[in-house]
Amino acid sequence: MKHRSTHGFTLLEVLVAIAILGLGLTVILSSQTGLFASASRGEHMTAASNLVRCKMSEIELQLEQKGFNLTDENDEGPCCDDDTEGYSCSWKIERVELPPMPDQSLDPMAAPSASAGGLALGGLNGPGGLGAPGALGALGGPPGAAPGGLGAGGPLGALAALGAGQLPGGAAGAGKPGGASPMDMLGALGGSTGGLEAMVFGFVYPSLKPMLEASIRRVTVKVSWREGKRERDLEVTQFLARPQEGQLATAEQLQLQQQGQAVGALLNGPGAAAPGTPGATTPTTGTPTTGLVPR
Amino acid sequence: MNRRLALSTRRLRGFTLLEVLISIAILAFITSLLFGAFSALKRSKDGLSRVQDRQREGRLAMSRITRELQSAYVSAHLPLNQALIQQKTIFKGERGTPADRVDFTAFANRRLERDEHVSDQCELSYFGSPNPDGSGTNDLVRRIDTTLDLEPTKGGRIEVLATDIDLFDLQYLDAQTGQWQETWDTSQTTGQPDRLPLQVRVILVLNGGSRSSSDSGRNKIRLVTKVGLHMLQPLTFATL
Repeated sequence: MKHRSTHGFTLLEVLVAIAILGLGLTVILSSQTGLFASASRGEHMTAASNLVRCKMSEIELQLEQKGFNLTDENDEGPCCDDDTEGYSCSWKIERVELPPMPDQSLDPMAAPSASAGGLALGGLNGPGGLGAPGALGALGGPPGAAPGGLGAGGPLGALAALGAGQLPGGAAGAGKPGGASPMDMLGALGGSTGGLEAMVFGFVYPSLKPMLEASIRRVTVKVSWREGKRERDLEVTQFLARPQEGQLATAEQLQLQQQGQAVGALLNGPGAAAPGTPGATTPTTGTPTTGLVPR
Repeated sequence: MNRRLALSTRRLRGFTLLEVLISIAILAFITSLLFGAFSALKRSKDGLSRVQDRQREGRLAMSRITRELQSAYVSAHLPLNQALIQQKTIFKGERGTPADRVDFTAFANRRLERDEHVSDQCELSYFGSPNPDGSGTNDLVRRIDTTLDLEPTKGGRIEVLATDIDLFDLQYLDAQTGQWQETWDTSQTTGQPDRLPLQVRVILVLNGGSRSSSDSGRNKIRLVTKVGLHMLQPLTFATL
């Protein structure tokens, strides 16, 4: 044994030691390259998230001014007018496909609103008489809307009043006799829990579906860039709504709005109202989606 | 005894001077290599964190600017008697180097304390200001005044949004002409008295995007975006 110990290391021992050392150094240095990679990823992400917002604003503006196309659009190009070297954008503007008329007993579209607004309506799932919906309208609406709901007469009017009570924007529809404009139907949709409401919804939905689909577009913007050899991208999707595309904003409502603007212009001249808290503007865009997804 | 001594002589002798010198030389060589590697590691880590800091400044500034610009408004509520006017709302953008200046009123104030006597309305400004430490650099600063008054471009407190900027450029999209404007003014009849820009284009360029501290002027961080405004008309109670 002593004889052997004077020989130093064998080649195998040296090789194993070098291999272990190499392994350790590789681990340390690879963590270094990971640091570089994630740092450069973060830089690109910062720029890309700003560019994606920029492109999305451009598309919003384009759709707002030129309206929706009937066909899907699929395009690519520079992201933000200029100076975006290294980044390229592609975007899609697609029609949406709404689900078919859901099963009345298990209505998935009404499910979220049922828990929020439909608690008081639980007893009315059966085939209620004509009088019951009227009472329902009076119950569901706020105090101000109750007379409108009672005066509306038919079940449709009551439903409209009910929907109007739950949607701040739909309050104007509560006083109308009949109350059968599409917007009010949408309001009713928001409050429907089943029974009679679902039945009415079943009548209305097939005609509403193409109107809704015509007024909603799904916009997807993707910014892509190269990071070393790898292709990276950032994708953002949003839904845009324009009620006038599907004739969802009725002439009556547009007229009301124009009157409002005229009065506003009058007020701008002399300056009449009290200072301070500004009134809320409700643009026509966005209202139908509010109807679909209350709150 | 003799035989045992003779056998173990070589072991007991220890190392020769030459062996020790060589081993120390090799050890020193390896140590210097390792030290070099680790100091390079530390340098690049410092450089990276410097760049990350600059990136974070730019990112925060951009997200804050875009969020607050989105809630900009002007109000048309004025008392009939002009002497009773308590507050003015404006949206005013001016050119400047290296930073443009914008003053506007917005629903952007965040109440930080419960029962604080402030609303979400505030006066906001972004503009460039020379760094007070005399380094010759410019900072992008933000002014916020939570009390609306007759001077919507003054008052309040000023805080730094981003240090050492190279450029802060704003352009405003006019809905009527469809053109991008370099300036905007709702307070002058010669400007845009009755409307806000449809969109605002924000360009923020920061110095110091380089990992080494010496050539901080070369590499720049350029952030570009566009943000759409929502309350384009002056607010009135009569608007539905």
